[in-house]
Amino acid sequence: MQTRARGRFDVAELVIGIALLALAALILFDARRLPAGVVYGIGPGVAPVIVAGGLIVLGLATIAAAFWRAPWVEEDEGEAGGAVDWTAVVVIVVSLAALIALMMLGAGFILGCTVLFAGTAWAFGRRSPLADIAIGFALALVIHVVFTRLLTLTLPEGPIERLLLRGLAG
Amino acid sequence: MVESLAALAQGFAVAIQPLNLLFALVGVFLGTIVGVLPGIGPALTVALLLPITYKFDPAGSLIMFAGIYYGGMYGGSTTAILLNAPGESASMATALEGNLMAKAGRGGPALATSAIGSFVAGLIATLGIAMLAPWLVEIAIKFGYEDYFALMVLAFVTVSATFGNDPRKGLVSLFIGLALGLVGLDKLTAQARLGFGVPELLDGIEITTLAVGLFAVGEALYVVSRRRHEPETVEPIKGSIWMSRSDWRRSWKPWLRGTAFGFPIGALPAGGAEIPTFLSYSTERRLAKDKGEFGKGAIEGVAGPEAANNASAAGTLVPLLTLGLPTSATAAMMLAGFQQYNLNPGPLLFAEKPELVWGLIASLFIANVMLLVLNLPLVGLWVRLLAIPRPWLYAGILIFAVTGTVAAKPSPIELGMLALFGVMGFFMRRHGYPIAPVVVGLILGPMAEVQLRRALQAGQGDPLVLVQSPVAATLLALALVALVAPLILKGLSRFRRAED
Repeated sequence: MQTRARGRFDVAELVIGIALLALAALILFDARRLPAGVVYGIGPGVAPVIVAGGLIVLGLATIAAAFWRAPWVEEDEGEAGGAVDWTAVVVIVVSLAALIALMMLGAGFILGCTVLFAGTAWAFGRRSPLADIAIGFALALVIHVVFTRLLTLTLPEGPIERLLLRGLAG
Repeated sequence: MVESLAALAQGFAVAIQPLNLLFALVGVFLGTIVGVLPGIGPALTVALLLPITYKFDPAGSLIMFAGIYYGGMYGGSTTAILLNAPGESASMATALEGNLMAKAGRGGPALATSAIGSFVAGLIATLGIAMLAPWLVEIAIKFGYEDYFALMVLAFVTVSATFGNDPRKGLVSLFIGLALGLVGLDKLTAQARLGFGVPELLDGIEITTLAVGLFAVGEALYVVSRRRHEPETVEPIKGSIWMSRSDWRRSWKPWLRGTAFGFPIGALPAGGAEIPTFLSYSTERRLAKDKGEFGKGAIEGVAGPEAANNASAAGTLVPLLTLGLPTSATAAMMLAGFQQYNLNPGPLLFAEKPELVWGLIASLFIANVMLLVLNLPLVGLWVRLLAIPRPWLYAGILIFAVTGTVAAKPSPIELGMLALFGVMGFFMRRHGYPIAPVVVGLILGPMAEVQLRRALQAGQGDPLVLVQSPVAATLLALALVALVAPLILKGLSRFRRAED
């Protein structure tokens, strides 16, 4: 990005600007059934309109920034830009989705976290899934015991947790 | 003065109860451990450790928080020095000279001056909190709804637009936060907004889910996306970790100057420790006898910015405790810590629960001393934490992020939001949008709305009520200046550069 010439087209800013306008539209659509006024002052419908108004202005400004750089913006845009390892990003997002799916299916905390751990380690370039599964499992197990026993918080339970529970009780 | 000393003494009586001391110790220890991990700044440290305190009583939990807060700060500077990977922009100045010192085999003195400097700054700044707070509370108690609203508008502007590179990006982040703040039941009429019939959304968006998603998941995605670009090396600590006589002589003035920059700027509702740390860095460079040493590992360049960073972090507690106004992502997480007990920081809390507020302030002193005692001897442990291989480190961070989220709200929808905010955080970082304004917008937006509506209600619907109080009018004018001035100044300097 550092070398981006003035006036060169920036796709990302265009997409972000459109997303902001879409968000504003969503807020306005939701707010249309809210009362704007009460006896004195304003009702719950006003703040959404203010926020949506701000988003529309900023969305348009962002779309404009996709085409022109504002005079007050420094040339150097810092860390942004550079080649992106999209495969790695997708692997982590899919691991998170797998964790959510596993929890919805009632597979429990430990199993879900093991999958997330192994998937993330894979994304970061490790290629020994069995070892990572073992480490993830051990870590999730320790966290589960600390959180549910020591801190008495509730975490999603599945077959492994129930087995563990019986093991500790018996 | 006498009054606040008496209140502080009462606070110490709370803080030195054995159980509370233990809470502070655990907080300091956990805060440092998590804060040392690369890529985890103090805000995320507090967010990740928040669930641990859910089942504790408010006093103990807030005391632990004080420890976590200061511990996270210390941990961050250790990482900056040994790894040159500042967890937050405020540690950048430290990383600059500190890492060079470590490379030159002076990592020990760099860590020492940063630890002792943080201690000195923390001590003075905490004393500053104790002195300023009662005085500000006196003023704040006279504030009307419209004054609070104006103050929050000012905070919105300064947090998002004034100090960033591009004010538009900061404002975009802020408005995303404000939009997220709309979700849920309206505070005054209990009507659902942006709920889409999903029960989990009616409670509003959890600030911890947002912060952990943006900071932890977003960071993991960002790091993995460019892991091929940035090889990292941990600098081993060679030689003595203690400072020599000349190190002391060169450090003490930068500590004090750094504190003098950090505390006032932190205490103003301006947020961000970047400004004071860089002010301190450039001042030390200007004042240094041997200017050539800067850029090669000058101890003054570590001592000053570190003190400024810590003093400024402590300074943000002033608006937080006295006005309930969070001006940084970390302060927003602290506010979330209060809110989980339905406590709202502000003048009322000082009046109703003085033992809690002053206990917290006294615990800041205690945490500060504990850190000084713990930190240097345990440096070997922190170095080992830095050596955790990246794949396991980030996999572990993600598991902790998930644990905190489901422990707070056991629902797949909450985890879905965590993942969504993570992806959002990744794209924001990639395209240079700041994260902190989102977090501050989410927590401060609904508060500002309530004040606005109450002000208009009290004024019987006349919008002029918002500017009729001199305090509100001044604050709104300041907000306007804070919004417009940077545009003009930066535009001018750019214009001038173009002329050259």
